[in-house]
Amino acid sequence: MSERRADARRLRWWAVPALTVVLIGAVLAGACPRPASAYDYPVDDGLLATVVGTAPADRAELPEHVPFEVRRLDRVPGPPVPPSFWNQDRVRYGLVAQDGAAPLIFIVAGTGARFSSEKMRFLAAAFYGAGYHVVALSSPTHSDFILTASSTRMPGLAPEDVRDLYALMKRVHVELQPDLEISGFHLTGYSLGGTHSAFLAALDERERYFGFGRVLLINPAVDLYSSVEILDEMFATALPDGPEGVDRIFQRLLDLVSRYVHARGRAPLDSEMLYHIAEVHPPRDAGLRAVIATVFRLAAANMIFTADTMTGGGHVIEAGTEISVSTSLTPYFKRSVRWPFVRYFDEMLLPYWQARRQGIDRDALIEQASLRSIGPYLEGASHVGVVTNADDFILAGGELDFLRSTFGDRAHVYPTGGHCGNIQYRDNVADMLAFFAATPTTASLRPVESAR
Amino acid sequence: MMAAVNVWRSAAALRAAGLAVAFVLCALMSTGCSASRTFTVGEPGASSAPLPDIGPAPIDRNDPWEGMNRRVYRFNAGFDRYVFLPALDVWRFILPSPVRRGFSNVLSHVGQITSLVNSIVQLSPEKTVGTVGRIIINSTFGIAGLFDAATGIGLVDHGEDFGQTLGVYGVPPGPYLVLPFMGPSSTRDTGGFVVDRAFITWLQWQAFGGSQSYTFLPVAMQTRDDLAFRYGELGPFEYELMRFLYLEWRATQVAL
Repeated sequence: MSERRADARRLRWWAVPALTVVLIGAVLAGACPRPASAYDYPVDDGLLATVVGTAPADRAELPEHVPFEVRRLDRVPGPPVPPSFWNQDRVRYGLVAQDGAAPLIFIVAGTGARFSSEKMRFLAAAFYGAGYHVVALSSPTHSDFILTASSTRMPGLAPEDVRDLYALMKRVHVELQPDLEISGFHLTGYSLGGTHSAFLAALDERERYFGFGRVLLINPAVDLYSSVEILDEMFATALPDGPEGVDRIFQRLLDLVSRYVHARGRAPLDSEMLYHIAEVHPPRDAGLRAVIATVFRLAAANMIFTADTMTGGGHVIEAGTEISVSTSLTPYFKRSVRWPFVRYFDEMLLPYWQARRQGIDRDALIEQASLRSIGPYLEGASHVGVVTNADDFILAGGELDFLRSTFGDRAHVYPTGGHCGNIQYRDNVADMLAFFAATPTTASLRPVESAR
Repeated sequence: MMAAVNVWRSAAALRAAGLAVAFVLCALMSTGCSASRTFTVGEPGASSAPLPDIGPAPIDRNDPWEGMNRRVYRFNAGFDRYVFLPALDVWRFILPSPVRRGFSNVLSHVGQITSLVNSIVQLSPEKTVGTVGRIIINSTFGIAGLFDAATGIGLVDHGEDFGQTLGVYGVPPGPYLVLPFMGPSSTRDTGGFVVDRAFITWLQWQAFGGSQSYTFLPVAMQTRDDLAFRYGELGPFEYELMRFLYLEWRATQVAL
């Protein structure tokens, strides 16, 4: 309490000059408008942007009412699903439908994300507001997808995962066709979903079922293997004690959240809250890295446990183990959370594909999961564009250049935003919608800015 | 006075009985429909080398009734999906957002009574003065709690409950508990909840000569409306994560 009073006293003496400076700034900004290309996403630190995203006041406006429906389809044939809570008997996806005829856009979620995640709902609302039918799909790395829509139950090899996605998209189309007037197809996805979108565009080029009008990759991973190496490295350095450190990160976060709620009263627990907390307690880089690495590590643990349970490989859960509703999964969580992505790649994914494809080696598999493997196609694919950020940490050295040289004027690199932190920012949404609204002959994004 | 105590006793007993019935019901239901099914990992008859046990880790919690808790958790998830959320859609359709906001504020306002008593019992002058300030300002400027004018001037809802009060006096949370319909709790917090409810019921009898039980449904709907949580979003380890988050969250609340 006394601390708060001291704050108020401190506020008093500099408030007047500060206010004056702000006012002068506002007046000047009004008097001499900035060049149209200026990009004002307010968070300069890529790590912070990744965690806090975009403040509500800076977000693109969304329609008031978005009729987001959860739809269901039968799961693909395969072994039964464990009867624990996450009993997923059917494939679930999100649908936001227009009343009349409209183009339909598919959105693919990022690593470990479900179709109903906050980013997915935001993108769905933005496209719905711009007049599209929207279908939101879970990432093939999310446990729902592994249980209900995966033919391999071993996600990670993008060109194979998109076959499952493509099959699901066709089924969704067949299901929706009688009720929806669809005037064309588009596709987008963020993070790993962006990478999947590129492979889906290439697959559709061969299969020609949809004939996508526009495909936009948002903050895609270029080389999946190097991106997960970056994330593993982040976890190892930010949390040198391993998973034990995760506990402290959670405790620290919860402590901040509790203090925030304590100071502000009942507040919705959402990304807006994170934004305000970061304002009051500017986090250090190490803390931000730990949070980001932890979120990805939990996504990996979910994927590894689900894949191992469904394929019986005996890596984190012994084959022959019986699971009922009341079975504790805690021992398996403890094992799964100790696995870096790269270990999953080496001990589960690689053997799986080596058993199915004669003579495939580690490097070949890494190469296949990289956008470079479809580089020549992407270079000529005038309907496929990419947006990313100069400070997106999932991109390894040289990958930004790869995107620039491959996509040319269909690539747009924002100076800031981290990994997907600026997706909700109003300029990003305007650029994204403009890309989809453009006619085929003008398919380019705004000119690439020189990096600040 | 004696009559009032008797009435309160019977009301509390009724609630306790209701809770017990709900417990048994939901245990039976979850047993009946799914626990008989077991899933075996891998091909039929397959087995693999035993994996080493990881030692104690922060995700381990005091949860001796985990089997039962998991059944109740699953029952709650089903209830939420098939009853609560569809009903919530109707609730949101009938009442426009400002009305729900106002109702939510009124609930918070009424809740200040327990918060106040707990703040006093915790011997916390800061919380007590803050809560009194909230009650005065929101009763007047907030038009009987319809608007939350107090938060704007820094008098926030601390939501003190008897579980926290016990925690302040050093009572550990005890075994983790998942309550039917209500979700994560602990033995201490469940006890605290019963005491808070009994106190409110006693107050209602004192003030209105009845327990106002008709408010139950709208209160439940609005409480759910204020929660963004959806079951099934966190993946296969949702039970573990919720248990961890709940217990850590309560520990932090007690410490503040």
